[in-house]
Amino acid sequence: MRKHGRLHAGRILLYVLLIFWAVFMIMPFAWMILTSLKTQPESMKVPIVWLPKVPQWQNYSDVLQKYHFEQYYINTILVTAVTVIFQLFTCSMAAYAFARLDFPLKKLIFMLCMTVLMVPTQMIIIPRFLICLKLGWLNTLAGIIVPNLPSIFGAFFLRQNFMSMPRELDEAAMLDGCGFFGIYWRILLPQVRNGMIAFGVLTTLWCWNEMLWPLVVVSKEKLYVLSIAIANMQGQYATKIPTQMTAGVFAMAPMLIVFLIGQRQMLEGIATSGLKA
Amino acid sequence: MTNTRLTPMKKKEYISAYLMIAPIVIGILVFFLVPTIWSIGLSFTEGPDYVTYSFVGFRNYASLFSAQSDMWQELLNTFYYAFVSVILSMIVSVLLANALNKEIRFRSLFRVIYFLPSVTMAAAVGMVWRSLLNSQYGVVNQALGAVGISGPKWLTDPNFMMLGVIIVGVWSSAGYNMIILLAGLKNIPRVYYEAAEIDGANAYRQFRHVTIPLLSPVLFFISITSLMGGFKAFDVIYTLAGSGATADKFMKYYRTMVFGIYEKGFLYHKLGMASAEAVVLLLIILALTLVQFRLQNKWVHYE
Repeated sequence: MRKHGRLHAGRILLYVLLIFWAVFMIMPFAWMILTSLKTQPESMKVPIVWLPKVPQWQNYSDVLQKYHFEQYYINTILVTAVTVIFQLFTCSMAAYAFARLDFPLKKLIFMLCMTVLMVPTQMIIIPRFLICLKLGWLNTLAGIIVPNLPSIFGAFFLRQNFMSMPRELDEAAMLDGCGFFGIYWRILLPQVRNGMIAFGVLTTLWCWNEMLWPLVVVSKEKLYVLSIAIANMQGQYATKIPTQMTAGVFAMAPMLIVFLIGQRQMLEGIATSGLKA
Repeated sequence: MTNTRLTPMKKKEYISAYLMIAPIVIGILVFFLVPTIWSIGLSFTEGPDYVTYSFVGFRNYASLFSAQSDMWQELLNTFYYAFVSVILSMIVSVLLANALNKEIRFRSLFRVIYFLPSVTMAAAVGMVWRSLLNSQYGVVNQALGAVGISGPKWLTDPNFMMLGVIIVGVWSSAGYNMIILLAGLKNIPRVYYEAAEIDGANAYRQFRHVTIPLLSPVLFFISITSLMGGFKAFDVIYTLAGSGATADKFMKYYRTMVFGIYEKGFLYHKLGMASAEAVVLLLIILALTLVQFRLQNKWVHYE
């Protein structure tokens, strides 16, 4: 009997812990969304007013139009879409070659890539900036996009996926007269779908959220992506809390949706390979 | 050895392979390898603008390591942030992973909720937390006030500023670490727990003597990767610190190494100094990576 009672208490404690942490996780989001609908004085009230008296939907259209978030959305979507599509294609192609094909200097090239993977991109922003300066890419979307196109990490992650596929698939396709590119594109790529989704979701998140590099390359307001628009808003409209929070909702919402759609594959990918979010 | 001539098939394989790796390999050369070497080269130069430079030997390093250099404060802030946030995040994520590994309801819902902060834009996270941590109207201090604690001035008291960043760091990273730990927990064979139970070990002792030792390779892996993440921190701190004139006064207590590189390179246009600091950061990261590689065999072997 006693044992039963103790187990029960343990269970309750467990749920209390889990719910407490869940509240802590969600609170900032809840506060952001609610505050985005408040008036300026409401947002700074002590004690806190959680619910706005009259929801200020106006804040949303203001941020889109008066604060030019429409333009920032277009820029961010463009940067993210080009990078993700390019990375998915080139990484999976290289991954297939490293996993399945034989070629001279393969080991050396692979080792070289492994070594470069250790260099944090934060460290090489200065030469990258100078390259963009030489190419005339400062204050262009190309300047934001191109240096981030090659992803060694993606190639390695997808290589693991290709290696776990049975060789018989390749051999059967080869007998049917399929070329190497055909094997990659038509036979194996559909098989590594989950890995592609995991990597695709992660790259999308990473690209969308990245701030340091765009901050370095772009200073024209017309070319801002959401992250620098947010950082800039923080400085320029420091006291306009509801406007800031509305901007925050705009910046975060699409990625929350992307995550909810791809969460199963992505969490699996992280669990098995320690994919960096 | 026979001199084997390439069969047409082999030749085709080589050409296909090179074509397929070409985009990535060229990209890596141009945007990773060349910049890395260039960065090291630049660290020995100084110039008045972005185009001309002259060789100055180790002068940049000398002033970087001189007593009045900003870098000491940056190193201190970076280490403080990286270590404390990693330790706290590990404690929390081990507890959470352990809890979620039990038979509980809504497990996948909890998993998704805990992971949410990891997918959100760091710049926006910093902005939201800046108002949550506000000493007057912020939610955090009002909640503390409700239980009778008068909260500190998170954003302006030097003793608490980094602590604020650490809270945000733990909030952002615990869910991610938890997911990896959860996978690690699933790999621990049930028999160990059954054996421990037969020996009369209670839940705490099972956790202490079975879970922790068997999980240690995973714990080590995430502690190193999060530590590296900590050393690269920039976005959250940049927006949490706010900008403008009032922020400048407090920036000293927030600045990390990446901030130092950014400021030297792009606000003061001192490319040589910025590159020298980047090299120091690279060396720290490399040291951590080497430690990780040496012990990674354990982690891989584990599966």
